[in-house]
Order: sequence, then structure tokens, then C-alpha cells
Amino acid sequence: MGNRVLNLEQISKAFPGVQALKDVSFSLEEGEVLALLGENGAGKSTLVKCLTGAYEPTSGSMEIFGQTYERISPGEARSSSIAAVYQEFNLIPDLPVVENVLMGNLPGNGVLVDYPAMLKRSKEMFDSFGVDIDPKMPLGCLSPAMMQIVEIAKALMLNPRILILDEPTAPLTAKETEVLFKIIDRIKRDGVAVIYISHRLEEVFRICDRYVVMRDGTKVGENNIASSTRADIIKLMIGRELTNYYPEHPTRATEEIVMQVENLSGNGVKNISFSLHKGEILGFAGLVGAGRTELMSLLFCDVKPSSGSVIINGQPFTGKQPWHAIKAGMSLLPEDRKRRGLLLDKSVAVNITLASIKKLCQFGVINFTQENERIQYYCDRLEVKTPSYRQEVQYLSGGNQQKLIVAKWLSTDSNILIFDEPTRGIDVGAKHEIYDLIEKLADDGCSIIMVSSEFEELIGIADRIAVMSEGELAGFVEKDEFDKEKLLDMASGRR
Amino acid sequence: MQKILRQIGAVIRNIPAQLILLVLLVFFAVRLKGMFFTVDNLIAIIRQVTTLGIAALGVSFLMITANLDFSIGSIYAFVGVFTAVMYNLGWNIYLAMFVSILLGIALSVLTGWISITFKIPRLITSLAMLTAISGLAVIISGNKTIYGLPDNIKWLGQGYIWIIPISTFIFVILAFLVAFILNRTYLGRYLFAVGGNEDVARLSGINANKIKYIASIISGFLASLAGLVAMSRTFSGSPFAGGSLSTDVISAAVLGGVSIMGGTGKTSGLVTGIFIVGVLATGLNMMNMNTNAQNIIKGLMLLVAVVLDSWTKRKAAAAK
Repeated sequence: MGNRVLNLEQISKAFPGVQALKDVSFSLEEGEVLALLGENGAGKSTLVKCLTGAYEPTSGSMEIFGQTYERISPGEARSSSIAAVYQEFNLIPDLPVVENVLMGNLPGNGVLVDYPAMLKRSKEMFDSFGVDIDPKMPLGCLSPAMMQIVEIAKALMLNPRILILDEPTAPLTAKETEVLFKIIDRIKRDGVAVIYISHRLEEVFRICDRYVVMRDGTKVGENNIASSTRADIIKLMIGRELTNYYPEHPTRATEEIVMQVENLSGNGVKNISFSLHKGEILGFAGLVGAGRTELMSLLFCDVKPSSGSVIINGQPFTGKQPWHAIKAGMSLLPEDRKRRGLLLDKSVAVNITLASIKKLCQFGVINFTQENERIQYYCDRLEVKTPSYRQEVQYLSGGNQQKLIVAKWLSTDSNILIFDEPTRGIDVGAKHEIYDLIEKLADDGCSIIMVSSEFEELIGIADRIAVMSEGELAGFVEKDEFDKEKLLDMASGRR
Repeated sequence: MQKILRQIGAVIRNIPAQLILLVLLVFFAVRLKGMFFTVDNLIAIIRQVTTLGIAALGVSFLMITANLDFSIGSIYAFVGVFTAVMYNLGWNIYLAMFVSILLGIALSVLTGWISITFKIPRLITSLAMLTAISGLAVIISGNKTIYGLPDNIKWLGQGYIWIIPISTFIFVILAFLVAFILNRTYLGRYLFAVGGNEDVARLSGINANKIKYIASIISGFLASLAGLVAMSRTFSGSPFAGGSLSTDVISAAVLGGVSIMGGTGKTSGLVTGIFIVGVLATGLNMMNMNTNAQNIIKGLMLLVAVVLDSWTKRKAAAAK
């Protein structure tokens, strides 16, 4: 140990409107396992992408095995022996396991592929892991856990000197997690440096030597695992004290139940039951992949549930398509607002009245006077800033785009609004406006479901928080018991 | 090099289709001297673009919803053949025309049903349908052009009011109607929404499949109507009538600013595109260029149109 393999100097990365990374510096030594920690959106994945060449840092430099780069191409990253296993699979389900493992790295004489050698190499790799995977099987037949093992094997086939693992245990069960830890132990002894990203702190304590904590795109601390406690790390991750960043408000939730969900299953979620009260802001917390967005798709009838029932305003709701949900007074502000919420190359006007245009028609013909009145009404009420109603929405800021979607739904007389990650990719000032807006809607008697990966945000704004973990409802937390650590524990399936 | 090409592309793209039409008109006027700008010739052009135009108005509905259809040429030929065959079998001519229009609509809806149900791009299903429908037209006609239609259908393709063909009146009325639907009705908004981003449309409560079926019905109806106008004008039903109609129609639409990626298009641009194709065909004919050489030019024209279309779309995407 002791040889420095990687040194990051003041890496910054800006996206339009968002500073994703700001002056992040740390180094990595041979044979070391470094935990990269932080909440969702802290900038961990962005940093990894800068290292593997997927993103180009805005400023700063990286020294990799003595060589300094301001930016690195994916090819250079690879020839510098950096390999990464991302959260999403980069595999082709229709191809056999062996071709996936050696993708882009096929042995042979340059023209013909040496298939027996491929089989042998993957077999040896799996044997050394102690797992039983038939390399000839199509990848799609494997379980997600085994696919993850294949993904790791693929990275190791490149003989990396620096291996980045982004939430590698998310799809793994306890047994495969042990397999992974053994692999990490082995390559560590061979001198490979590992950057390990995980939400599961007990794993970090088990296999990591050192940690770096990130928050809001900056490094907020680093230390040796041995001289730290869980509490230290969580404090660093959570960071700033809860101040009056969020609007002060008493709960406006009434006794009246507007939506009752019973044992809803399907689309990757199981047995979800909850009720939503009139005027309530119900938060949905959880880690990435906990099934929150999937649940919202079920509620909004975008995906058919396999079982369960929904009651809206006392009536059984049997909608099959989003327009049934809309008729019942529901609306969805999707997580990916640019691809699922807005017609980017259409005007502010068209977007606002898209869901309600039928009501502004006589015999199918649009009454433009009425339409303009409505657009003006909502733009004023929500304080949408746009040079004109004919402006294409792609040129508006994220906050204004989000307001347009809210306007679209308000004009359908929606009273159950589902906000899925409404503040993602929106800068701090605009976040405030969205919070205020949500509070105002609740004041007006709307019921709100708010999905967010930022616990702090939910604690600041929700009346009650439902926590999801691995497709199931882990429990509810009432307002007087809101506590970030408790939420994090429940979300990572610990209680 | 590519950068220069791209810049040239951007410059050309910003030239309105109207200017391209003007350049073509000037070119043929100079090249063909006094022969081009005669009243007879201009009316011939107008009459020629009528059938093309009626079909193009229909297919523009599909294109706006991001569906390309190459089977309209075969529907156009099929309705003429079917009507002529049925009349010769003793049917009333208007009944035969009515049934053939229904069949034309049904074929277009079938194409739509296959692509919607099995999630196949309409481009592909329509190519399969093109082959099948053309084969059907050849079989029911016995592989020959069917004559012997009654005089009382001549008005549709050969009748005139003053010096303007009746079919042109029909086209003009349809063009205004289409412009009205696209700009002033909720159906128009829905068509653009489905073509612009189907997910967004669906999540905004629009029944995207229903909108695609409506577009299929309109496209099938107008392709059939165009086929009947052509049948009346040539006074026969030919299984080979469709020829290059599908590519002509799509070229006209794309040149006029209807994107093959869906979500954009204006009737005024479309009509200009139709005239570009019509003027080019007439002009080249008058220059005695042979059909094969004309086909090369038509093919290149479609290529240029889609390349420019793709460039503009990508430029717009890059701006995001």
C-alpha cells in the first residue's frame, strides 16, 4: 500500500442551471477500498461519470497513475485501467452470458473470434467467484442478482487497476453480497483500488478502508472508517440543520379521505395500502429503485395493477387508462418532466391547455378567447415567467416548466396531485417557489402525494411520510416523529 | 467538411418552401421559353397536383402523428380498379364508389391496427400492405386496365367550372378544411401532441391510439377519394395507377415542412410542397426527360427533403 493511483484536484461539473460538482478533491491508493457516500443527488454518480469519461468536467484535473488529465475519454479511461459497474445494467439480454462478459474485449486473431477461449475465460471467472452460471445461456434468463455478477465479471475481465462499483449490492441478496465481498477482498490483495458507492452503511463498515462524504456536489468530509462511527457519517451526509428553509405551516389535513388504496400490487410493487386525506401532503420517501415511481404509474393507470383496489371519494375507482384517472380528479407531474410532462417544442399556451382543451371547445372548435383567459389566469396565479404565451417551453427554466405542468393540471380541476420528484434539477430559489406552490394547493383543499428522494425536503413539507423499500411499504412516519436517520433506516430496509 | 455541409443545410432549411417553388418556376420559364407559362399548361399543372394533393392532405394527418405510410399509392390504385370491376359486374356506379371508399378506409385502419397492436412502426406495416394491396388490385383486375366506365362520373375528374377543374375545387375546399382542423380544433392539438411526444400526450389524458385511428381513417378516405378522381380523369381503373404516388406525396409533405418525425406541419407548407412536386414533374415532362431519369430526380428529392428535415430536428434537439 501507499502508491497513489488516483488524485482528483478540484473537479467541478456544471450542467445548464445546475452545479452538479464543485471543487471535489480526493485521492485513492493502491489496494484501498474507498467508500463514496452521500444522499441521492449529492453528485456521486456525476463524479464517477467524470472519471470514466462519460462526462467532461467543467474544471479541475485528474491524475491517474501519474498522468494528468483535464478531461478523459472513455477510451483513455479504459486504457488507464479504470472500469466501472454502474447502477443500470449495460448488458444485452438477447446475447449469451459469455458474449456479454467479453463485450468489446473479444479474444481472437483480429478477424475470427476464439469462442472456446471465451468460454474458458468466463468459466474460470465464474468458478473463481464460486457461482454457477452457464456462460452459454442467454443473459435475459438470469435473475437480476446474477446479471449483476455478470456485470462485475465483465468489469474484471478488463483487468482494472481502479474499479468503481456504484450501488453494486442493490439487486443482490445476502448470499451474493458475500460473493461480492470475497471478490473485493481478493482484488484488493492484488493491489486494485476500489471506489465503492453504497447507501448501506454496514457494508461500508465491513469492507471499506476510508470514506469520502459528498453533499450538494461538494466534498464535506473524509476519514478512515476505523476512526469513525455510523453517527459521524450520517451527520456528514445529512449536513445542514433544518432551518425555516421550508414554509411554516400547520397541517391542513382533514378527516375526509379522498383516496383509499388497498393492497395494490403490480409493476414491481407489492401490497401497498394507504389513505390520502383532503388537504394532506403525503410524502413518499425511499431509495432509488424502491418502487415509488412505479406505484404512481399504477395509481395514474399508466400501468395496469395485478391486484388491489383504489377508492376515490368513496367510489370504487376502476380506471384503465390515464384519462380515467384524470376524470376522477387525479393528475401526475412525472419525474422526467422533459420527456413525460411537456411538449418541449410547443408553446406555453399549448402545454397549459393540453389536458383541458376539450372543455374549451364548442363542437370540437377551440374558443381562443376562453383559452387565452384561462392561460392568463393560471400564469398569473402561479407566477409563470415567460416572455409570451407563444414561447416554446424548452427555453423556459426548470422551475417555470414545472409550474406549467401544475397549471396544466389545475385547469383540469384536479384535486389529487401526484408530484414525482418535483424539485429535481431545479435550482434552490425555484425550489422554494415549488414548495410554496405545493403548500398553497393544499390550502386550497387539494390532496398531494409528493415523491422525493431528498428526505430533508419531505420532512420540511409533508404532513406524513410513507417510506418505501424494495417495492413494499416499510411504514408511515407522522409529522411529530420526522427524523432523517429514521427515514434512512426504514428506506434501507433496516427498521 | 461536415460542418460546412451542415451550415449549408441550415441556410437552405431556413428558406421557405415558397422560394424553392419560385426558383423552379423561374427555371422552367427560362428553360422552356414561352411554353411553360400558358394558361393551358398552368391548368394542367393544377389538375395534376389535385390528386397528389388530396392524397397528401390525408397522409399529412398520419405524418403529424409520427407515422409514415407508403401504402396510400396502392389504396389509390385499388379503389379505381375495384369500382371499375364492380360497375362492369352490374353494380350501380355510385354504390361501387361508396363501397370502394369504405374498403380504402378499412385497409388504412387495418394497417394502423397492426402497427398499434403489435407495436410495429407503420412504415414497415404499410410497406407490407403496399405489396399485398397492389397484388390484390392486379388479381381482381386480371392484370389489365379496366375500361367501360359510365359517362356520369366524368364530372369528378374531367368537369370544369369556368376554366377551373371541379376536382381542384374539391382540393381547395379540403385544404381549407384540413387547415381548420389542424389549427382550430382540439383534434388538431391532439394530433400534434401525439406526434410530438406520445408519452406526454397519453399522460395528459389523450387517447393516443384513438387519435392514430382517426388519422388512419382520414388518410384512407382521402387516398381513396384521390384514387376515384384519378379513375374518373383517366376514365379507367388501372392496377398500376399508384406508381410513385406514395413517394411523391411524402416528398411533397416533407418539402412543405411536415416532419417525418411527427409533431410539426402546416397546411400552407404542405400545399407549397405539393406544387413543388407537381411543377417539377410537369416541367421535366415538357423537357422530354424520360421517366427513369425523372424517377432518379424524384428519389433524390425525397432524400434531400428527409436529410434537411433530420438536420433541422437535430439542431432543435441540440438547442435543448
